[in-house]
Amino acid sequence: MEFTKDTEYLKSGLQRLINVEVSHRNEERAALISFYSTYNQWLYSLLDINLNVYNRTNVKDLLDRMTLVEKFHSETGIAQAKVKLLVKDDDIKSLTGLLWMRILEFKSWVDNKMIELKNILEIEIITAEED
Amino acid sequence: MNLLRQGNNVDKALLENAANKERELKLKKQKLIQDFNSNKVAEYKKTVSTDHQFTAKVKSYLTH
Repeated sequence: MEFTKDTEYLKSGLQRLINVEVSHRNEERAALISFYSTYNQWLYSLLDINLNVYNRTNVKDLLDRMTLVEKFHSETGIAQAKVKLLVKDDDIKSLTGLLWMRILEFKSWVDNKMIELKNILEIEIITAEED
Repeated sequence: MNLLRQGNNVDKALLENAANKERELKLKKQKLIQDFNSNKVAEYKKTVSTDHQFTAKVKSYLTH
């Protein structure tokens, strides 16, 4: 009778541990998928940019695009923080940081071009107003 | 008469100046867009190998 009670106690303890492990594994998986998804939104918001479409009549669209890129930038940062918190594997955590850094470099390059174009368009607007 | 001629010359110079400015801006813009279009893929490619490393590692981690 005592032996059966001990066995049941051990079984329930083991089941609890398994549940915690499964739940953690699911959260890890969700954090990684969320990071990869937001990181790709960020990347494609940069790749989609076509500077040919902007002119002095739609500078606001260019500013909106810059805002959108910034939004994905911060969302990816938040998703990365979740990975750091939940994922046990150090290599994955480090690769997440490296990937974030690579996209940030790409973003800086694109940002510079967008700012340069914005400046040109603003000068064009001022010049047109003077004329 | 002289004053009128001088005035015309000033107008002409101003117009020329504005046209030069516009041409300069147009060229600057063309150069910028050309540079962006020619280098965007190369800049993007710098991210690709890290992406591959990451996806391979995550796939193996989640399936084992």
